[in-house]
Amino acid sequence: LTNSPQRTRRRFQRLVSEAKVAEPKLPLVHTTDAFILRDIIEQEIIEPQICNVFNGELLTYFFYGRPSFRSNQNEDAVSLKHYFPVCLILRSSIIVDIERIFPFDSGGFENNFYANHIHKRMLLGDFLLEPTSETPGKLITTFFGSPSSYLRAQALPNPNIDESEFEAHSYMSLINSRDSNSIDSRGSGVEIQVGHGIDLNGSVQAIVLPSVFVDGDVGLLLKKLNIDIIPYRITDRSRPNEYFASVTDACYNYYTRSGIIDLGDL
Amino acid sequence: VAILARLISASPDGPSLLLPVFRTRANSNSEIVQNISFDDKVLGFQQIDTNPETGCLLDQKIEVFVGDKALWAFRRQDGGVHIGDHKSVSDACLKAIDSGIYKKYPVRAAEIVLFCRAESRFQHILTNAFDYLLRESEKTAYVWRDAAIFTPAVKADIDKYKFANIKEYLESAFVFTKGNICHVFVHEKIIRSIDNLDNLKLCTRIFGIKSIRLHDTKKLESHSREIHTWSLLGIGSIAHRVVRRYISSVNINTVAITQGSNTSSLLNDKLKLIVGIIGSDINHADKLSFSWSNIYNRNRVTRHIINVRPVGYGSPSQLKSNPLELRHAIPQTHCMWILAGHRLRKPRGQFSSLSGASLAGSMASAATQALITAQATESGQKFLEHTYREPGLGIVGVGRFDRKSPIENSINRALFNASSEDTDLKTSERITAFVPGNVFSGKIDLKFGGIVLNVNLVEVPSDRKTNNVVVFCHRIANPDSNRDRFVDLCIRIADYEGWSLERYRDQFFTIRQNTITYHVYPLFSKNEIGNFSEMNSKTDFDSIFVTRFHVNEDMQRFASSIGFYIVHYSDFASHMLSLLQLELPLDESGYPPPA
Repeated sequence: LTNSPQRTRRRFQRLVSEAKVAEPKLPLVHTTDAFILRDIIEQEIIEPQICNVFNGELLTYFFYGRPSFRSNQNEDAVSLKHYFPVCLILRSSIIVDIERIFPFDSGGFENNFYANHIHKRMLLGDFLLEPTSETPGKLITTFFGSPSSYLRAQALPNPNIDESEFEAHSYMSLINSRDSNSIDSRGSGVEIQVGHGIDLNGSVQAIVLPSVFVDGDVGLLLKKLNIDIIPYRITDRSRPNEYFASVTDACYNYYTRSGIIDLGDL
Repeated sequence: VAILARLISASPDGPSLLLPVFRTRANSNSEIVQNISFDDKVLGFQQIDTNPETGCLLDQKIEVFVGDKALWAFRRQDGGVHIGDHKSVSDACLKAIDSGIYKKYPVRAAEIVLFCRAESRFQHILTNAFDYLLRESEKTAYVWRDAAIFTPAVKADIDKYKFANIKEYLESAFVFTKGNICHVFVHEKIIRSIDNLDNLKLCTRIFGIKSIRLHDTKKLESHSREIHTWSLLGIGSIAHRVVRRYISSVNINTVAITQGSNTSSLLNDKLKLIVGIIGSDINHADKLSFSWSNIYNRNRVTRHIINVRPVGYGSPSQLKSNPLELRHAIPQTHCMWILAGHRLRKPRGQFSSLSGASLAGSMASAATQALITAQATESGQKFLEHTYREPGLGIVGVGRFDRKSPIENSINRALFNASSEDTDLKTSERITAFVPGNVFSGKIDLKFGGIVLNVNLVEVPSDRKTNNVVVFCHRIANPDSNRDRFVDLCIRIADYEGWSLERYRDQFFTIRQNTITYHVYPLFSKNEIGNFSEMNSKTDFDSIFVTRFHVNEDMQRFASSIGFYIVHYSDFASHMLSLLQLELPLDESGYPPPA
């Protein structure tokens, strides 16, 4: 899996696989930037990209329910994804074969961003989860309790996990941290990798995008594809993490209006 | 110091605020952007990775220091760029608003008004953008208003109180407007402390929202509940064809699960539904049984299996489990529905095996959809309740719905497709039909294969787009491979293709269409063909053997030697049609008349 010849551990995978699946199932989110969106819409496909972490494999990345994205090599740098993020919200049914699932952004692990939480001898493969569509729901049950808490990055305060589950305790430390990962909460977003492209037709429910696109050509193209447009403001805040907060707010509101998240009797 | 290098816009054209990108030195490759405080000062800079070809370069040299007023930029509609502090850029923006850009760019105009903090003055720009989005979709408009206007407004209100954990409080604030009330979810400490929501009040007033209600964010977690009303599980290649519409899965020998909900208000009673799709592999049945035992444990649930009979058209395989064995392997099943309609007519051509699987997949999908649809209507729920209270074995048939002919014809087609060599639908205790576009429940009497059947109709909501009629024949006599049932199936196929039964003898039956007559000899077992070895050779080919087995060359040669045709029952219908077209006199155009 990684460049290390050491055998990976399966404790974490086993722990998660034993859990019940949290309901309801959440959509998948593919994050890109406003410039790449145009290509995606014109070609009507999300193309897989060569991934350096996984030996040059062609992969398409998603995060389960959460607007998040793969990290850059350079931790300190932001990118246009921070300033003009575009999140495609896709029906979870569209994926035929899942290649891998990780409980966090695997690029962040490889770039050593989680070093404060994860033991240096732990390998990325120690966190590899079963590649089935039930797995994200099981992880949520184990560490967050409910999809709503997961979406709001609120981990269970005391998930009652045996002390010998070292990887699980490292992961708990990561998802409870409010420091380095607050920029986009990718430390606790479930990453799903697939080895193929995704046809836009019928698979995308909605696109969260900068509001300047809504009344331009992109808005017209999306209308033709029958995709819900969720615009967010690009000028209400001036720090990158606040842009992502706007996107997260919009996603959560959209899920609530779509009946995925239930607010009970208001 | 930071030197302005270029300006990046999210959108290639039209009026827009731009992102200023700086360099630390004029010839530096490394680019940075400002970190700006709420009072609009430069707190510092942050490195940014972008494509260096993005954005427009500048002629003028502009420098910014930490502690300076932040630099903003606006591109006018004519492409000209205005650069300056918040106030000067706001002035340029508002001039653009006054010049009428909102007519062409209503949402951008609203964003500019919000950037300029000029909501009171340009209320109509905000409502105009909302109305524009409302024409796109309600969801788009309401999400935009909540997330892009009300949420930043309430966050600005919270930010005025210098709470210790302000970052966490700002991140967790959530706004959701329902009807005339703006619900604001914030940390309980804020509910206790805050007494001024001026920004939010101003914004809600613009949209005629009369009330603001504060809730503890904990409420968001406590109301996450199980809302699914149905679950669909599948294992094996055909099942995965159906389930794959909803779900991903690694391999076909694992159980794929998907879940969904019917939002009908009739669901208060919460009879949940589980549908499992399997073929004839007993190992698959075991796996499915294990997977569904943990679903909806706390609810009343009716569990249905759709058993897709083998796709192959040859001899019945001893390795395949029969429906009774499968049902025994999944003890919690309320109803097992045998699906065998795909076996009645063998698809032709190069990809026939693929077409068989595809047809079976489509039929299983239609049957699944009908069961799920049942949750959404009163008569459908009665049907599900009935299956819950009176478990049993049944058969399911799917037929194409013909809107131009009476619904009886479509139901007959589905009933025909429910037929199979080892079941007898006449023994069914209750037949239920789901017909598209039928908005009433009720009962009809239907003539089918010489008998009258009483069929219950279930209404199908008009928003369910389907072109299939699905019939469920509940609680049939146990499947049994015997000669009578096989003969019955052969007669039914002939009848369905328009051949009437003339005569019935022990060994054969005679069918007729127009002036053409054939004798049909059903061969239930392989050795039956030996009974005809003494028969004298004929040349008129007015007799047909119909078998359950793969027709090999020896059988073909023998049949031919005594003047018989021989076909598998899945080829019977098409064979009779081709014979009919051969024998009927040609019409004036030189083609045989349609059968």
